[in-house]
Order: sequence, then structure tokens, then C-alpha cells
Amino acid sequence: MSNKPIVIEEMELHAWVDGLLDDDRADAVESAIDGDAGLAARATAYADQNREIRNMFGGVADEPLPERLRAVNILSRHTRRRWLAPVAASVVWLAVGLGGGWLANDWLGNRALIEASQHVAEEAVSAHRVYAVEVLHPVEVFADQEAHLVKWLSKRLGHDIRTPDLASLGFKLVGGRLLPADGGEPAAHFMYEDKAGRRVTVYVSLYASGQETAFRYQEMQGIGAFVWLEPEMGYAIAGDIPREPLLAVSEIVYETFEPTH
Amino acid sequence: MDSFLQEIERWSPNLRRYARALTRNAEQADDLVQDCLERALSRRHLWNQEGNTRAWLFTIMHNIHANDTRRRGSGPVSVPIDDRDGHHTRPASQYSRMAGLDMMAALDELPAEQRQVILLVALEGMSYGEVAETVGVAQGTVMSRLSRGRERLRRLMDEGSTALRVVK
Repeated sequence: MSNKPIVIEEMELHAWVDGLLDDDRADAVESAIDGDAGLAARATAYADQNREIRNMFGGVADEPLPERLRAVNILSRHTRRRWLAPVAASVVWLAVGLGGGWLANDWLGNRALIEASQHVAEEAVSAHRVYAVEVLHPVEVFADQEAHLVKWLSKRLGHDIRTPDLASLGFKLVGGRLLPADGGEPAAHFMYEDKAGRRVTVYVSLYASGQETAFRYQEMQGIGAFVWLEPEMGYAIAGDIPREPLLAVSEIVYETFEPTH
Repeated sequence: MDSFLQEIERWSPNLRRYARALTRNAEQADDLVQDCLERALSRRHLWNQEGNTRAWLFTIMHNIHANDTRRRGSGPVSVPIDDRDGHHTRPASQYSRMAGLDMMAALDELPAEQRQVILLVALEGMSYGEVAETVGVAQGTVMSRLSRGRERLRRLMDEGSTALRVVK
């Protein structure tokens, strides 16, 4: 019985070297190696190969990660590059810049963040321009189904989405919709209307900048927008109304979404 | 930091290690890792929290590397003279170092598909199933590449030591 040669599969030899074999078969491989010098030489050689490869390169994983390879740093660069990519869009923003739309208030320096918020603002203003003029289909889900709307959008964005209460400013919820944002992420879009028929829209998108920003205001083709970023989200309030009431709307929206509230 | 970013940062050192082994050049390796991370970060919507993040990231890097290599031509990635120079100038007494460099030269002789499989198993300790998922081939293919690659390495390194003895 003990003289009978043990048959093992080629792959079992490798799996044994790599520590991937269960105990039963590992015993079989060891017995086979004991009785076969050629097999033993191969097993030793393969194990040596593994060890040498680990000796040569293993240390790399213990080195501190260079700054340029840190995910948060890549994200902030990424948003900038993504923004700079389409030439047409750059031209639009150049026009905005020349028109004096940007107020260089408390924004000192961080270009990547400025560009990121420009990007969110552009999407919000586009959505506003497309949907605010709609008479029959301004929204996908009307305010009479507000609970459903909130639940649906929260689920799709994976975040707690709420409908800000703007009644104190004379704005009533019309409804909301789901929008595709850049990069295939879903965004939520709410529309409000006052008695005069003026509309403001609230745009909330998944936008991982990893940082927070203050409010920033801009105007683009007659539409004003306040925009700010949270680490994982971008917010923008757009409307064809003067800056002061738009700011009041933005403050309520900000308070509605602030995590501590 | 959210769990997506945490997972990415968790595996970044491993990506760097594998990239270094693939390219043999620190700068080129980090460029590859950066391309990989950028692509992964922009595809957050494709990330499966329950899935194997390591295999997902390694697949992304593997594909980028394969494309880069294809673009540069079918031959092996070139290694700058500086990096290989040490091979000739290092004192012969540093035996382990010499052995390692012999191993590098032997790895260079392997077809890329065999080298990748051997490196993923040796460096990452991946199961053959995980390697199959990463490289995008059947597990049986992974096994035959591993088997042929290792045997070829063994012969190459045996020949190397024979040659060395002849020189002496």
C-alpha cells in the first residue's frame, strides 16, 4: 500500500506551493514529493521563484504612497481635468468670466474647486433653462406626490434628499425629476414657483470633490445661480430672479441639507 | 472619507507593487497606477461594494497596461539603461542580489501573459480564480499559463547558473 505511487495533478503541485490546497490533498502532494526527486526539485524551484519575486518587489507596498497617488488628490485634479476637457464648454465659461459673472469674494486660490463648482453650476443652469420654461411637463413627479418623490430620489442618489420648504419666500414646490449628471451619476432636480410664475430650481448631484466650499454666485445667459460643494455632493440653485431673493432661497436649501439639521 | 475611497486607498500600495513588477520602472509604474486610480475614481457607479474590489482595481490596471503595451508595439516594455546598469556593476559577493537580478532577466524572457499570472500569484497571493477574474480568462487558462511559465522560469534560471559556472 505504502509503495503504491501517489498520483497528483500538475495543478495540485502549484496549488501546494501557493498554499491554496486543502489539508487532504496537501498531504497527498507531500507524500508524492517525498517519493519523487524530480517533483521535489520542481516544488522547491517554484517556491523559490515566489520568494524571489516577493523579495524583489514586496517592499514597494510598504513605501508611503506618493501624494500624486492619493485618491483624494486625484479626485480634485480629476474634476479639473474633466471640466477642462470639452473645448466648447471652456469657451462658454470664458465668456462668463469676461462678462464679469464671477465675484472673487472669499475664493482664494483653489482652482480645482472653483472649476468643480463651475461644473455643477453649468449642469444646474442647463437643467433650469431646459425645464423652467415647460408648461405641461416641468417635472417628472408633481408635488402632490412629494413623499414618493423624496423617497425615490433619495434611493437613486443613495443620500438623504429632502424638499426644502420655501413657502416663507413665496415659492411653492412644483415637483422634481431625476437627471443624468456628468459621469453617469444621478442628480435630483426640484422646481419651485411663486405667484407671479417665476421659477427657481434646486439641483443636487453626486459630486465627490472631497471638500466643502462656501456659496458662489454667477450669472449665465440671464440665469443666476448659487453653487456650493460638500465632500460628496454638489448643490446649485438657479433662477431668473434677482440675486438677493436667490440667496435667500439658497440659504434655506443649505440649511435643509446640512447634515447637522 | 467614504468606503469607496477607503477601499481604493487600501489597495493602492498593492497596485503600486504589481505595477512596479510589471514595468520595472518606478516612474512608469506610478504613472500606470495613477491612470488606474483615475479611471476607477471616475467609475464609482460601476463599483460593487459587495464585490471583490481588489480584483476590480487590478482588472482596470491590467487593461490599461495591456493597451499601453499594445500601443507601444508587441515587444516587451523597454527598461532604461540606468535601471539595468546595477546588474553589471554590483559586486558579485552580493549573492542574493545577483540571484534576484537573474530572476528579473528570466521574467523578461516570459510571454507577458505568463509573467502576469506568476506575479499576481506570487505578489498578491491571489487564488487562481481571482487571477482569472482579474485577467479576464478562464481558470484553466490561468493554470496552464502558471504551469508553463514557472517551468520555463526554472529552466531559464538553471541555464543561467550553468552559464555562470562555465564562465568561471
